[in-house]
Amino acid sequence: MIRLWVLARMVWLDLFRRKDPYVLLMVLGALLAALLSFDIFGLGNLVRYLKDVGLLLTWLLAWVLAVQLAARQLPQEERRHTIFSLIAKPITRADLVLGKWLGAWLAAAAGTALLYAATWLVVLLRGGNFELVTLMQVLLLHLCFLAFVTALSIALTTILTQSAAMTMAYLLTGAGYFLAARLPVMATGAAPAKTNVLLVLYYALPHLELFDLRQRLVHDWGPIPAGVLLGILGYGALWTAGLLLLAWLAYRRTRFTRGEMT
Amino acid sequence: MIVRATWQPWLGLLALWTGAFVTACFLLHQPLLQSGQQLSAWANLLSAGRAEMSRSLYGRAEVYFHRGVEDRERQAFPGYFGQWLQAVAPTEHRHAEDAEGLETMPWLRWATEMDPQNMDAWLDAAYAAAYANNPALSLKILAAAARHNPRDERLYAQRGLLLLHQRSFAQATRDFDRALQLAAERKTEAAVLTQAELIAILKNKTLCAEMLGQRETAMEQLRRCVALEPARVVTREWLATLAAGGDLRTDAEQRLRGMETAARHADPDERHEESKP
Repeated sequence: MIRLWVLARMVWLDLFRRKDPYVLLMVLGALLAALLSFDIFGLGNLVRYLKDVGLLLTWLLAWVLAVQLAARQLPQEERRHTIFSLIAKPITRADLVLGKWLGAWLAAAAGTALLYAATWLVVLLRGGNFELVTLMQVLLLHLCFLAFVTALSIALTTILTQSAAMTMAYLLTGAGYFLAARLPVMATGAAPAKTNVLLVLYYALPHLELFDLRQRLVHDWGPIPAGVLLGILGYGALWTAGLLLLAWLAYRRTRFTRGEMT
Repeated sequence: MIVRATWQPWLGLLALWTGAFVTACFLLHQPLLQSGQQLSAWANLLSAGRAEMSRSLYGRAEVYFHRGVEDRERQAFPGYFGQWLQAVAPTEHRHAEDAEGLETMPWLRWATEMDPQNMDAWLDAAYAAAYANNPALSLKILAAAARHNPRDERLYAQRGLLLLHQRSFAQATRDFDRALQLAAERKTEAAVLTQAELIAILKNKTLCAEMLGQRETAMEQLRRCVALEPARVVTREWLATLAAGGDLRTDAEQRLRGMETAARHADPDERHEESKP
């Protein structure tokens, strides 16, 4: 476990050296400030749109942060040739994959928490507030979503180049969010063969829309039942574990040769 | 087929140009500009883009009015995912109540900024303000709408209704007259107001005339209503009551209160639609 934490800490140090979260925070701050400055028929106490747009931006920026951060971990070690000093240490490939994922996930989670805090602050400044229990559920499921995204990005970098892995990660997570939920609609009125194909896709694709509770928070629908929350958390954990297993399977036999690496 | 590396930027450019061309064709195809306006293709394209964006922002306001619930089509695969999704993203039919309706304002404001000719956005903003017991704001919004769309009868009809509820009968009458005049002037263009909406304006004008003690004017409006809907017994009875004499103001006040009570207890979706002239 200590080995995992040491690897995770390296990811954190790299993150702060690159100052990614600060840049994202500034982007969010600038956009929210622009929203705040807009005159809405002289009404100064409207907060719902701020919550909505703030959380949407938080989701988008956290998504970008998670993919960028996780997808560069292994390729960066290989490119800098620091992978040799890592694998020379008494750590297994599983430790390496898990440590990198843990670091990327926790760093993305911390950056995301910062973005939530900024949105919350703006909402408080406008005189509004979030319902606390629902906010905690939103954050918890969002962190679960980030665990999936970071695991997927790391798994993809074990078989693809960094840029290809990033592109695939964006595509797959985008499809998981937008397409999976639309499949039942697409199947309505379709031929039986097509319906069966869509059914298989429906259960095979990750349902990332399940991790998004923003509508409940923004429009005051209240928290979801604990059973549903646990179910979705378990679903996310299963997907994350499965992706990390695949990443380890792909990475355990990867051979590194100095001459071939650029 | 292997594409040469030197060709790739040109192929990319071609793909981008095709995309832009298709988008332009789609946008220019929309009936977006007021008839009679002669604008260049670029101005037309930009107007079209803005109008499309405005419609999208207006759609967002509708979602807010329904407390974040978007129209969801039938789920074909029930099971855990379906149940969880129902919990995560509710599909119940609910509405923003009273001052909560004002939360739609940012989207309506942006929709009108994007396209000042988006009358639905102006009218909904005025409605949301009135619904939140802020008639002053509603009048302000309608005044702004009139600056951009001085010849749209719907906004005069809505402002007349608002003034009627505020008991400003003379001003309301002027707005109803203006709405009817503009509607009559639309000879070659498609009618904006339906017959039912025209009848509603005439009846509202009747109420104003009654409150102002103008029996003949009130009867004249009702005769026009009867001409438009001869089978409607209630209108005939109203006309008969007026013809029989009696206290105009007491009857009109009762009708006005009845109208306000009915509006308060109506389904918000219907109220929303009914509020539009």
